[in-house]
Amino acid sequence: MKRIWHHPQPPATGKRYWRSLGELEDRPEFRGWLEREFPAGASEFGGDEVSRRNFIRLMGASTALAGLGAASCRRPEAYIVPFAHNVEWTTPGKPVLYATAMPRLDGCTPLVVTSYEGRPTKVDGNPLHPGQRFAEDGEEKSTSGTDHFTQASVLDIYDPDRSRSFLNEGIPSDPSSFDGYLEKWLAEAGSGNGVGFLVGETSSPTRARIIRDLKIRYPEAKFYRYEVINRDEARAGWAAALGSERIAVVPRLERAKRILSLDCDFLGMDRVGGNPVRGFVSGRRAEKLAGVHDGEDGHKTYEWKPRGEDEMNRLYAVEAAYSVTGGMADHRLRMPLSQVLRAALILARELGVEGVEEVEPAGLNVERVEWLKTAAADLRRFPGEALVLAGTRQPAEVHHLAAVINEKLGAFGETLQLLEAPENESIPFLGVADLWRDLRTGEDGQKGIRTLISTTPADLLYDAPDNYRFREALEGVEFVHLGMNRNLSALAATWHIPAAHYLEAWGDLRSSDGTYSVTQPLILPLYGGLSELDLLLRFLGPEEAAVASDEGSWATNAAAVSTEAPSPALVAVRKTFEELGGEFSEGAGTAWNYALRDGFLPRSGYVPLEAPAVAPVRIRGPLPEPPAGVDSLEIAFQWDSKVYDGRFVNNGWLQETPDMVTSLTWGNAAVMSVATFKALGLKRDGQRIRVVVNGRSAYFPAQAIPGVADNCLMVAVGYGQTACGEVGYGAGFDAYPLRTSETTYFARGATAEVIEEDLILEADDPEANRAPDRDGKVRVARWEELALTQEHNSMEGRALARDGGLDEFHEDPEFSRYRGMDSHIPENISLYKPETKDGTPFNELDRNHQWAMTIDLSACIGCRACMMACQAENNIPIVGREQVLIGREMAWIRMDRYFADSGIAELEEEAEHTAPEDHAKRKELKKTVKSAQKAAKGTSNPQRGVGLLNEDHLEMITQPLACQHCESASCETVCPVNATVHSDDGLNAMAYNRCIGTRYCANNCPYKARRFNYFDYNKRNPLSRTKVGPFEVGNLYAGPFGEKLRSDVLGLQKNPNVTVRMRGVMEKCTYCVQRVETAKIAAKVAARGSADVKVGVDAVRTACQQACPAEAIVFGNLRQPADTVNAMKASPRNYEVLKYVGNRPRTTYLARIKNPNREMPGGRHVGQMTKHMH
Amino acid sequence: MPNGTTTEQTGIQALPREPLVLRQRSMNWITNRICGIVENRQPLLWWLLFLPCAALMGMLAFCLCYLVSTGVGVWGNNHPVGWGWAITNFVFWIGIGHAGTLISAILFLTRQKWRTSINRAAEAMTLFAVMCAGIFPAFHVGRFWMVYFLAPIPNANSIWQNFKSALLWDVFAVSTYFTVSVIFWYLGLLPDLATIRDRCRAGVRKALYGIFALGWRGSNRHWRHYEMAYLLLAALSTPLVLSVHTVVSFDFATSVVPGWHTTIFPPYFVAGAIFGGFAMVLTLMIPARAVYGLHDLITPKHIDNMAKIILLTGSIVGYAYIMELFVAWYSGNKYEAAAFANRTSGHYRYYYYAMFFCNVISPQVFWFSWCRHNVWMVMAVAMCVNAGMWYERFVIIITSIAQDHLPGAWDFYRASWVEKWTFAGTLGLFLGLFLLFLRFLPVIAMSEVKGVLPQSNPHHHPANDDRAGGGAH
Repeated sequence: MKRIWHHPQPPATGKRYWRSLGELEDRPEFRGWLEREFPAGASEFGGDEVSRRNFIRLMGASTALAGLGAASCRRPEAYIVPFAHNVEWTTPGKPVLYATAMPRLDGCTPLVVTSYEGRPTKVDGNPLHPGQRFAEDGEEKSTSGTDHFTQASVLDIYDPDRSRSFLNEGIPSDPSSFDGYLEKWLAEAGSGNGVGFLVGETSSPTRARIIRDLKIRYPEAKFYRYEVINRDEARAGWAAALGSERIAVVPRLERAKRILSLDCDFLGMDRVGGNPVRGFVSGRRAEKLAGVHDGEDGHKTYEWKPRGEDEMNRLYAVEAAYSVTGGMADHRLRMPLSQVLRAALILARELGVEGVEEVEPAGLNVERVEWLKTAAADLRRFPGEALVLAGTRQPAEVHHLAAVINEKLGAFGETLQLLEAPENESIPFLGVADLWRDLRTGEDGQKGIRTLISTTPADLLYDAPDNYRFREALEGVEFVHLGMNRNLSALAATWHIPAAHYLEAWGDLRSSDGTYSVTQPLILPLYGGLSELDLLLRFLGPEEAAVASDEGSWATNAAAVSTEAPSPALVAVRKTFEELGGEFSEGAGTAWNYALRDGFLPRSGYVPLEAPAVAPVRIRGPLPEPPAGVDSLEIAFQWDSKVYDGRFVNNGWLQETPDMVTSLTWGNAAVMSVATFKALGLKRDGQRIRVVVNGRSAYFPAQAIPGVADNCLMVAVGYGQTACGEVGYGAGFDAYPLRTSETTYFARGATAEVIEEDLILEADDPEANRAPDRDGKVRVARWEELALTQEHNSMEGRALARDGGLDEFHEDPEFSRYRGMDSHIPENISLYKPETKDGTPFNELDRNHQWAMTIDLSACIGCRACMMACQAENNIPIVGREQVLIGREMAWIRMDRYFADSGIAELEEEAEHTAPEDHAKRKELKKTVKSAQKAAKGTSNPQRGVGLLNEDHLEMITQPLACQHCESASCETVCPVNATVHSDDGLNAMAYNRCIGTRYCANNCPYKARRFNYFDYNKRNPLSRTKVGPFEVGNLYAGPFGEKLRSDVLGLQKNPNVTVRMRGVMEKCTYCVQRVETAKIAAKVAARGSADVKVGVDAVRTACQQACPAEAIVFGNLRQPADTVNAMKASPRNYEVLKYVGNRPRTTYLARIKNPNREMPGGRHVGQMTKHMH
Repeated sequence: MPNGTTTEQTGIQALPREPLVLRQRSMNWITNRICGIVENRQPLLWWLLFLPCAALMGMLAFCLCYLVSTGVGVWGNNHPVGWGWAITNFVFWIGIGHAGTLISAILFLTRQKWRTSINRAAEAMTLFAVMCAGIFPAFHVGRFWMVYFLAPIPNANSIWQNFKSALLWDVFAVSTYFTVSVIFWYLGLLPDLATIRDRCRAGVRKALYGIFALGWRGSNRHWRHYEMAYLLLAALSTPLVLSVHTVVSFDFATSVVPGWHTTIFPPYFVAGAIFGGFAMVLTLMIPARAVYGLHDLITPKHIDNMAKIILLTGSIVGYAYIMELFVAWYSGNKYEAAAFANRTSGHYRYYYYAMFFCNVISPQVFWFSWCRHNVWMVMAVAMCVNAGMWYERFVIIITSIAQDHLPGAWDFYRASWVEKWTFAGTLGLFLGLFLLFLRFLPVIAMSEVKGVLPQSNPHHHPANDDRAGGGAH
């Protein structure tokens, strides 16, 4: 019951005091003031359906488990108390961690979620989970790394645009009406004739059981599975190869020495299972620690020894456009998606696979064939240590071929674990094509499906293949839709039910190796949503949903302390848990409690598949021809690194984190190679093209990115949505209209023409693939600037992200220290001694702690998980597209990504080595280099700075850049008000309250790592527009008249230990000072009276470090000799960026070492981007 | 007053010096003519100029209110470019504020008597320019309401300013310069204010001038003290002329940004400031001279002298430009070389060409004396220089930070309408204040001009002209 707070009544007897003059006068104004001061529920957030009181109730009222000791267990509902009295286990500002898991295409990502006072604020990988553990150099290691989708998923809970209420035919309704509908439906359902269930991909055993139960209950019902990005092709390929639908494949990249990817972005977007990034990086180390010696005064010396060519892994990548995998590859072959099959065939032939002779894989040029042959020869040298991976988007044949090749290479059981899922969890589903067939009116005038219950996260009306007209087909069908967003399906559905976020609901998942995890809610559904399990259980009937009351002692126990019945999903999950052998008995210390605490059930993984026999490949029909030219382009429908298939369209963090390769934010583009860009007659990035394919047409901005296969357009799907929240509305162009059921991942025979004039289309125009403006018109300008976060693609000869080949590393392990300016300038000798009056150097003021970081470029794949983790940890606001265009993004870590053409380096080197007498030749060579560079620069801005000779010989390198915490920081000396100062423990600190915002520090930072709050991004909505008189301006520009934040709910995600910055102050990476201080306080508490206040070994982990799936980022204490950071700093690859400036940065980088096969075509110059830079 | 010339003392016959005041105007004429500007109605042109200036001042106020209430984001600054038009304008105005004190102080100490006709206006111009300049650093900060943190006020937190910061030196240098310049200017005004006071009829006007004349009676005591104070203040301001722009240049020179971090900046900035300052004096004085009929006081010789200074300082600036390019190449520093390659051939190259043409090429016409004597020509070059000096500051500030060390951070900067109108607003403020100055104060230092008249020389014997006699102070 709501309590109303009154102004306390004065005592009736005794002396009277007035608490103010107003009270004495007791006039109506004073009474009004009183009411305002102590209104009923004044602390409500106002307007929203979530009020503070309500919120506390929700988070406190998680489903009950009677007060058990384990921290992972929910707080019983009976003990809800206002925070005036502290809740047990809750210290304000101290997080509570829960283990759970996030559903993914390959199973799940095991997580540990940080929760402050009941608000989940941050997710990280669960290092205890077997999937996160592996052996490296004989040592058992584990990782907490995740990807950026996982990191960003926590924001979705608080999305104010989430679906918040039931909709009946698009009109808000309430749960009880739906209950009424359901009751009626259940009564009439019978055997389920005409009923269809449409679900998404999941590894949940409980859902599998519920589906089985549904099949029993409704024998005539049909079951469909649909998601845009699915594992159908991979499943089919493996089924064809091994004759079983139940195969689970987990690559063990840490064991692989030679890896070849067939369009498989296993380091980035492709969910291949296992822990591919960490595994890959583990084999990527160019050196190993040969010895640690104790030196003087407790310091250790580390001895690093380079690895041999065969000890380090080597990655070959065949792909159409640069992905992070291609960026890490030692050798990369660009090829249209349709031609990967051809490459796989050549590879298979080279490796002696039988049964592939029938089809002649001609059509590739000599150099490409040579490339594949050389790669195959290299793979063959490593039996049992080689691995070939096929991408999710490739047809089943490629997966089958990959299986055969892997068998040939002896990969099974070694680099590729084959597992078998339990039979009862492998349920055959119909596909979307079947759904389309069944939804159409049959000959008897009746539809095959008259009730469709959809729980898939896909949006059927938006992302289904364009030749399926589901909007028409669903007419007259009762469509029950469960979803997080009010998307097109939700609005068209008979009943839309808001879905619970995965952090709001009970459930279970298996990771790719089958390890069983229970996903537990950290908070009751904020907007009253239902989980998929909850909804499906309801369709099983009331007895199933109400099973709670008599399902065993624990439930009874829970019910005794609970005001509401526990979630039916929890009951169902408990049942599965018991079925899987999870022991349960009353009290603490049971398997269930351990599973909740640790996040998984031990030894619950899939069973290894013993000695499988691989069926020979049969390639059907003629191979697809490569795209011939600009008249017949190939278009690939990419999943997007920001919105995935469109489901994350309303996540501002994702929208604003630049794409891994294109660095594009807030939208998509048709990405193509520089050559194709020019061939189409395009001049600058952002020019519109009209793409026609499959008899359909759509508009896209063009973007040239070096290294895309020629005559290919790579278009990300998921944009241009018209039914989504404020964040996603207006972002990008919809590519789904171009897609048909025959061309799900790529289509051939596309044409593109450049739009010469601005178009204004009606919203219902079939060509309009962008969200309409306020006036209902869709505007397609002939040019619009792309919101890129990095506009310059070349290092400009500056040796910033240094690289080298393994051979070079063997020759001189310290080569990277003498690159660029460091190769020829004498060291700076400062006249200024950085020390105090008594001679203590400033960097030794705190003798216990001196913080530092290293970033290993050999390991960094450029996935941007660190950027996202930093955003979540440090309350970094989003600024919106308009601000990104001006260049005001706030990310504390920037991911600099550079391209370089090794062909040019080759020519330059040749020119240098040509004898001086041979003037003519030298001149000629230099001229070629110049003209190549000029040709690239002159035509357009996109490839600015990349002089291109040959897009086949490209390299890409990424370099995360945040504040370097320089010991002699140039920002500190210039701040007039001492707002940025150095701490005793070596942090470059920012005193926000002292900062007046002169921006001098940012100007003087050679790394440009500082971020200025040009507006009140944390207080005002950066996305909306406001009308000021006749003008419409961005809301931020309306100043005090602008709209405040979209919703106070967004504030719930904030980390309470990090200041939320106001406008006008500078901010930047703090080395997660809140984590540093927490550790120091803990050390001081543990030290009690003693002087030993040094924090433990590797005790502090920054958010970026924790999230980094490659463990490229290492943070630690220079005064703690055993800290990993000291070993990393001792590596011969360690160098300072911009050392010549003399700032003495605390963050240093480890040069990227590649392991090139010098016999490969173009292999002579791999890893030499920075070799000639000085 | 210094008197006599070497030629006269040694008795050697020499070519007669060009008189500082033409047509042998009498002291009385001077008083009447200059006080007349203040006492008579202003010409229509004054109003035609003043009203738009007043409107621009209003716009300035609006833009600043918008800026403070909404955030620095209303300007075009972004992440590599933290300083845009604002600091460009600051340095531009500060530069203009150099000629005045240079003319009053340095030329005074070096006994350049020709300065007397122009020093008052030039000093006024200095003050107005420094006022305009001060607006920018004060308002460019993110939290204007905290700007007092820059003042060394003991506070409860015991946090002092960072005395290592060039920006703080700037605050001290500019505020000192402004204070001393105001005092210097006001002191010089005293005898003339008294003259106007004495000519007024009783009333508010007389009272006000009386108050500001501080009871000046022209007694010998007054004059003795006045001249000593003037001399001391001149000596005090002289180093300030050199120091202010040196310190302003330190904002850049002490940084680590390629294109900013160079030792040539202090002399280069000072020369540039004098260059720009003189151009602005010419820009203001040539029209004023025409409108108010001051041809006899501001003579072709004045214009000629100033043109020569422009030629000299313009060439120094040109030398600096070329030396910067040379050093960028000679240093072997890739970053430095790239910074200058960007200036000359990058995104902002047209700004660089404009700067080079306006500041280095255009003043070269002053090698020809007819160019120095043709007011239209002089005016044209002065306008070029005014624009060129703005371009110079833009080129230095923006091109350097837009593309500095890490290409991954590069981005370009475009000024927003707010910045443009703010700058236009300060132009209005500057001109408006100058027009008010013309209206209310003697535009030429009457007492000083009279001091350099031949009649003031006790040994002066007018040959065959008795018009010069009479008129005391």
